[in-house]
Amino acid sequence: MAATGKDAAERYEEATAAHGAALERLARAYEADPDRRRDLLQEIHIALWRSLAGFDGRCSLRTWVYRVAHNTATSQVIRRRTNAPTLVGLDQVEAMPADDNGHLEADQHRAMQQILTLVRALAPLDRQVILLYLEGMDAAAIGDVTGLSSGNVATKVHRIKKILGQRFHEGGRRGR
Amino acid sequence: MADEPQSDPRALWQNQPTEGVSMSADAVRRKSDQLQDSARRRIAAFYAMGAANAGIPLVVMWFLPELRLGLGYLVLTAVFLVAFVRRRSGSRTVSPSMTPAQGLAFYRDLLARERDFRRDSTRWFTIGPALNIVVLSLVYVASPLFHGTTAELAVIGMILATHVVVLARIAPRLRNEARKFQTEIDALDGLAA
Repeated sequence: MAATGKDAAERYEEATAAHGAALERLARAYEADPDRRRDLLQEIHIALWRSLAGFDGRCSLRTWVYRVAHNTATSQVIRRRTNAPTLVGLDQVEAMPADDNGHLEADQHRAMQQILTLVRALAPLDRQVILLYLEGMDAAAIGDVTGLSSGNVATKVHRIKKILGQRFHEGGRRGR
Repeated sequence: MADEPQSDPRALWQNQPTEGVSMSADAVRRKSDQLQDSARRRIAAFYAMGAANAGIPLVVMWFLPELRLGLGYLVLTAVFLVAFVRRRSGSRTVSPSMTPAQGLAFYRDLLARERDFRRDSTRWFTIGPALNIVVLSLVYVASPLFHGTTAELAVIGMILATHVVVLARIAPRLRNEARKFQTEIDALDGLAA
């Protein structure tokens, strides 16, 4: 039962009001195809709805929402893994050249595509960490959601910053 | 600065336009209920099929006591198969209280369970029905109902041949499904490595 006595519907409204846009961004990071993305988003909302009856307040609502969303999205991605391109870890991404050799024009759309390409190439846990980092979470909050140790998260976040820095600051400098 | 947003990927990510896709509590409750109803219908259909498979031979036994042994065997195997499937089809939901890392481990276990289910099914759903039909045929042939006419032999031969064809098609399909699950497990292990 919910620790604060709120019912599932009320909690659901609260969760989607606060994190609805983040869930949409998460679905976009997992699914390039618009129809599948819509299905995934719907699946996440249903999983969230079902889960909230068991929300016990031992973690924050934000942590709960992200756990449900990532578990749902990852399960879906793995189910279709046989046809998907090979997913890689952060260390391999670090060694990969950017799509346009690090040169990004002052074009937000292209920059966004660059981020999405990077995120969608990553293996589940690395993908979850980078998405939570992009959502503005700190290492402790990322650790809460993913269950990774703070040291592990710190290492991953350091790599993510380095990769993003290489690809975006370089692009920004060249664009000036 | 024109290129400022792209030099901060976090700001770019958080400020990307969203479509505002959301589901109201009512809509998501309706959808969730629909999915649960369809799952309930599937389970009910499965038990109805099991009941028919066990119940029809029971009724026939009443009218054809000569075949009691073979039909009794059919009832037992039907009950066994229902119990086997029931035991293997528990909840498949990743609990939201799990962290994504635990969720992945849980998902791997589910895949392994599905793989083993297909592997075991190859045995139970082919050997079981094959034995069923052989036992039933032998019991019929040994009973006073059998007169050894060509028509009777042709019908028994046809039933046996049909079973051979159907079971010969089911076995490789189940093996392929087991292989597919193993491929997924290998992929998952590769991702975790």
